[in-house]
Amino acid sequence: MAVSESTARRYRMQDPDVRLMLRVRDDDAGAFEELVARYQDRLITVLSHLVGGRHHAEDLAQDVFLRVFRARKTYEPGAKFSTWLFTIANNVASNALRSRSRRKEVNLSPRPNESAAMPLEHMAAEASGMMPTRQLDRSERAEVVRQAIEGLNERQKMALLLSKFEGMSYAEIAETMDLSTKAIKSLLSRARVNLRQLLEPYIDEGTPPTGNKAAGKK
Amino acid sequence: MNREAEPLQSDVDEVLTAYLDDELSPAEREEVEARLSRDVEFRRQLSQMQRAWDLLDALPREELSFDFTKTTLELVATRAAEEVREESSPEKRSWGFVFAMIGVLVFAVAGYGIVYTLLDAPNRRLTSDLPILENLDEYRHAESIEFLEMLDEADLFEEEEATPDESI
Repeated sequence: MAVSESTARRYRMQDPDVRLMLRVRDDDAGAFEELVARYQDRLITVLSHLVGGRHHAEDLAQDVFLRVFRARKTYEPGAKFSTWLFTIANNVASNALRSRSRRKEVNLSPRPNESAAMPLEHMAAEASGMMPTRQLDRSERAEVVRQAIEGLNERQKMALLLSKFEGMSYAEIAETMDLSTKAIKSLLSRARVNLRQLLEPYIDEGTPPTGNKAAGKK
Repeated sequence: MNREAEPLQSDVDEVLTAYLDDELSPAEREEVEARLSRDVEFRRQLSQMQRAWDLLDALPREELSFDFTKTTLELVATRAAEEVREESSPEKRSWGFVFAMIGVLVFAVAGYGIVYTLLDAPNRRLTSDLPILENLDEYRHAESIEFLEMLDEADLFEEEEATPDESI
């Protein structure tokens, strides 16, 4: 569906990254370099937590930028640039995860919220049995949280990561993941409930979290 | 007395999540805050959800060097060059050549037709007027075309009718 002139004008005015992408459309190599530099960290942060590995995330991020470049001539600003970029990233990551699960040739059909590593129910049971006797250091805390994220299904993970790391609204996440806002609300709710269950022993620790808070969410 | 049905826990979770994400309407937010003021268990659930959320801050954020930017740009440039080469591959070039030749032929024929029609008109005019031009000196002496036609009808110059010029 073509983007209306008023919509395109609005995003051109409001989003500096849209203006950069329009310069890329006109074959401005410097503008493309600027976009890569601006988004590479953000893209790889989300992708690495999604696919569970930095190197794989870097390969996927380069695929995303390549797709952006290939699409430059037909680019129309119908959304924020970040929404469009992460829509592509979601597609690239989904394809990669699908390929990976086919390659593993899992015999059991997985339940929706079951990770390849450990079913959510087992993780929650183990977590509820754990009583940390000391405060975790930063890297241990990160590992615990990473494992909790692994317990979510792919869509819950993606919605959570976009909300946390990109500060996207429900409407923006819905557009990125091609779902309704209602579906995103439900998805995020289940993701947070699952996270709460998995991280309960560490929540009750009473230790304040360390590190920088996400820009968009409290 | 009828009691209001208890909301499903999933609905409560959705409301709490949306409240934390600032996705509630003003009316919905007021309702949540009113309930938070009187419901201890509701407050506890909200607090737990918020703290689990805050634990996500422990996840590292990646910081890449300029090397990644550079390799990405090189990759894109290489792939773009490959695509250009594929576009101008021998197979694609031969078909392109054929189409180009057909186009040249069509334009050549059309051009010839246009030239023939427009530029040859004066030549054709000249050809048809040639007998008059060749005898122009004699025609100057005639007073009018009607006088010449009258002389011709009178057959006064029969031996001249056989001259080669008249056969043109």
